[in-house]
Amino acid sequence: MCGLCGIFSEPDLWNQSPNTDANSLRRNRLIQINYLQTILTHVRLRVSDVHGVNYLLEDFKGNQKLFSNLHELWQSIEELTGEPLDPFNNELLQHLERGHNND
Amino acid sequence: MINKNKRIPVHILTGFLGSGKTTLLREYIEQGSAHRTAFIINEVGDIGIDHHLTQRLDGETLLLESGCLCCEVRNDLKASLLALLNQDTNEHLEQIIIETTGLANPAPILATIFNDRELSQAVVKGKIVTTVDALTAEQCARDIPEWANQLSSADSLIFTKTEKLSESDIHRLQNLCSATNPFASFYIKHLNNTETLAQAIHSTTPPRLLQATHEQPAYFSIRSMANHSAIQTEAINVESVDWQRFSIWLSMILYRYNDQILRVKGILKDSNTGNYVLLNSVRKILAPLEIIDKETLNSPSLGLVFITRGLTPNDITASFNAFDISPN
Repeated sequence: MCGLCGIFSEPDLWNQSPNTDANSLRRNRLIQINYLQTILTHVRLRVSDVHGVNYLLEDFKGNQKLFSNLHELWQSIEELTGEPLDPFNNELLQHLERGHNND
Repeated sequence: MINKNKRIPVHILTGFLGSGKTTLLREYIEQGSAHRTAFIINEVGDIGIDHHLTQRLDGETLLLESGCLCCEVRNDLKASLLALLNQDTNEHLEQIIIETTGLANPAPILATIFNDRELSQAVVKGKIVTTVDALTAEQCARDIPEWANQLSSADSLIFTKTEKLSESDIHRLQNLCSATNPFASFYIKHLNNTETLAQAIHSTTPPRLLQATHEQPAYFSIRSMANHSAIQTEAINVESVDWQRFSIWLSMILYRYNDQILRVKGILKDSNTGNYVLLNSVRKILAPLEIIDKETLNSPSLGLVFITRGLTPNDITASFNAFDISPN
């Protein structure tokens, strides 16, 4: 298991704001999904919550992947699209900048 | 069952082959600093040599003879650490020092400490001390990727074999090492000083923050232009971040560019809680976050520093900005 695993499911790990109280975890989860969706629209993928426990990643052909942490998300994206998501990709960055300008 | 009242620091002594690790360790033991200390010595090859040099430790030295620690999370290391802790029924043990092979990358050792549930309750990361052979450092920087891994991981650097070097040579060496690791403290091993390792392990300097800037020492600037796989640092000066966005962005970078991100360190303000958070990763192994008292910081500037190999540093800042991570 690498240092990135488990980070969605365990509130003491680094994806949550430090000292996040339990009541705000659910809200944070929805904010997180919303932000992830902004990114994933660029590669035509959808992400949704599964009962507050897991997350579902889908493409428009109906392929689905369940994931529970960020490391699994990046792996699932690679499996569905055939390549890892590149945070330095110019088209992705332009997509995000357009999205933020429309907020 | 381990039931400690305090977590025991695990220090890692690393450095390239022949750079003086075992000499430092022997001096550390001989001058009396090794009181209540256990050692784990990792050796390459079929016949362990180094543990004979430190055999005065008797039952407290464990030898991992199966070779280099650099490959993965190590079950034998976990077993050795747990064995040491379980033997310590009177809780006399105050620290553990792991001497790695000259080829090891410290990241898997950290992964073992941070990710194993039982171990992470019992031990805490201490100092990563890297020995640097002053006579061969420039050649190693050019030719040996493992050297940069070890250097970039360090909290403290000890320059060995400096007797024949001038002041300007040492200054040049410091510049070279600062370019690869702007976070580390420097120590120079003099022939008659047997306390260098103790000083490096036990110094209590506050978090040193972001001395790295876009200015590079000349040596590395020249190399960087000529060699795309050169080590480079990129500093992002940012105060507060949206922690969720930041986490997603950083984890994506570490996943995609795992082999090219040697180190990430920073102090950031979480915009949601107002906490100041120390973040420290070696390769993709992220240490548990620490919330720190702002009063203890020795620099007012906050931000992130990446040590990278073969990346265009500006790409990191451009990506950070596009992901809209800072609410400022």
